[in-house]
Amino acid sequence: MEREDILKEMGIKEPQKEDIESILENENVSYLVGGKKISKRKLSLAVIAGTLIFVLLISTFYFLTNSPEREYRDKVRTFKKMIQEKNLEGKDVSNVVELSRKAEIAYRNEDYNLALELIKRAVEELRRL
Amino acid sequence: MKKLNRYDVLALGIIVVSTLLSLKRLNIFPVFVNIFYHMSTAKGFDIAGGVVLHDFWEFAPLGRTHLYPPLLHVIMAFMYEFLPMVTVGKIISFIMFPLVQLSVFFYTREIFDRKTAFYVVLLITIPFNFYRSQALTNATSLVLVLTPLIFWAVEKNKLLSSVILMSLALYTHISMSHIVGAALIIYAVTNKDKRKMILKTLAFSYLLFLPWMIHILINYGEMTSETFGTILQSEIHLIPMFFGFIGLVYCFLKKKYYYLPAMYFLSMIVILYKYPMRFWAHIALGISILGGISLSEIENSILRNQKRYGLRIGFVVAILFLIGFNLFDPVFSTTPLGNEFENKDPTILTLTKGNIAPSLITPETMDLCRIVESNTEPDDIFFITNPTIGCLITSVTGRSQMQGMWHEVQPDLKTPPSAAKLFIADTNFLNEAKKRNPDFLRNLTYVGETERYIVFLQERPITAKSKIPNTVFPKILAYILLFLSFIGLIIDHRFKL
Repeated sequence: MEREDILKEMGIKEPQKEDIESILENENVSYLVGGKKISKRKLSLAVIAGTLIFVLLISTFYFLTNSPEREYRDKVRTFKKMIQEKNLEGKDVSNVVELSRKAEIAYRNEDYNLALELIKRAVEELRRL
Repeated sequence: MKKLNRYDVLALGIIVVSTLLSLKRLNIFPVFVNIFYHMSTAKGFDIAGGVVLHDFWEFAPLGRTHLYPPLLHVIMAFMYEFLPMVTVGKIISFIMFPLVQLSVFFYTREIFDRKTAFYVVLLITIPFNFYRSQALTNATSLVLVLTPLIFWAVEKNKLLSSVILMSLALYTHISMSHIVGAALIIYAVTNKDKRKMILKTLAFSYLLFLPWMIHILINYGEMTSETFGTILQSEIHLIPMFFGFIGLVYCFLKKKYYYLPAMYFLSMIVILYKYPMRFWAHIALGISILGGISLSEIENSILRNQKRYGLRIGFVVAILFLIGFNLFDPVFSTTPLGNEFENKDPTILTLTKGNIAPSLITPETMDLCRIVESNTEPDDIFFITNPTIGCLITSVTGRSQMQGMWHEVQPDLKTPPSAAKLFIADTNFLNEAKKRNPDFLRNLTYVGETERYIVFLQERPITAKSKIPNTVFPKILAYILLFLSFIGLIIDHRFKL
């Protein structure tokens, strides 16, 4: 692409000679005409390192704030969804019912680890049916 | 000043649209309650005739040391010369978001380029919690407005402007301005070309700030070391944060003037120590500058071989980002009890939908102000169970209250509510008090009520009176100084001193 085309593209009809360089530089389009080079190596490094920092931040906060109580509530949501979606007619669901009942009792007693364990087993049982 | 191009039009378009939508939602301003403190302080300055070193409008009659830097209150007191205080509060709350958009646009456009400026404005407009915090934490918001301008002045070697702007920031907020100072110091360490300029800027501005700094240091013991919120209570806006971290690394690799936004971001992490709750909102300024730089450079890098249609494709990409980022704002929120990934409405969409709590200045609160004003003399003191509403009443009526806001500074002694002329209780408090003590209403004469509050006149032998301290700086001088600082900025900009 020629400098004149770029200037035309930008709507600048008759730029002064001395203005051209500064316009191109300011517009950050000099890379298109072989002027200022973007350091691709630096940018690639920044993308990789920046993504890593981002993932590290999110995962740190995720693990610091992830509680069995929240996980239990998530699993209950999955459990309920599965019950609605699955066709359970004629199948023996007594074990699933028993596990979910025990999980709820454990949750009410604030034993979230046990509640989570039991609801996980209930979901597994349900999946097998 | 560079001529406007289409990226400028896009950036200014975002600013105009968000401002017009804010105007459409004018009933939400002032947002939340923080402005009531500033309104009551401005009213206090107005009553005293200038800047005072002792709050007489709160914790009356003894008051407490006034440590809050006075610039915002001087500006508000000046506006109050022409407008009602409620309108002043509305304007201050409303104006801070468009101002920060404009100042960051100006800095990035002048120091980086137009495309970067567009992406910065786009990213800063995404998180609604930043919009809300700009409307809410008014003094901090003003520092955030001044920060990009300070950076611009430093980069352009405009010493007079940088000293004026940095001094204004120091006189606006007790801690936020030092974060800017810290960023400049680290920048000076890494960029030797700017070392002299930064040292001069900081030396002169801190010299100008010396009187208030001495006042703060003398009374430092009265400040509490309370922290607000927990570090685990976060609201991370994933798009600006993702590009922001890429920009952070990229700025470190690019060096020179790219260092400054990176240093600013790193300095802001200090906020986590005292105000973890606010950090995730205020950080939007630093992260958006970094994110804008990275987005612009990534786009340039991808399109560098598209010699025929490079500019057009770039512009189309910019518009696609503009649409996408104003529709989706994926957020990762955490509390000590759990976390959640959700899609929140970005600022423009939130303002369009209007799902925002209205202002707490309602006909009811204004009615309460009227009752207080008509039943008291100017030096009478009132007690109210909700000191936040108390600040609003003070700002409208000028009457001092027995409690107060801004709990970082506590009074040495508190006067018992029985010494107040008016006793204002919310209905819940009153019902509870009557249950515990059936004689509670003895010595109280009913004078009026609103939906939530009941106002009583206290008939007791001793009634405390508010005492106005001497001013340390008359308001007319403060206005002149403020005016001169603007003249200084214009002269420095126009005549290239």
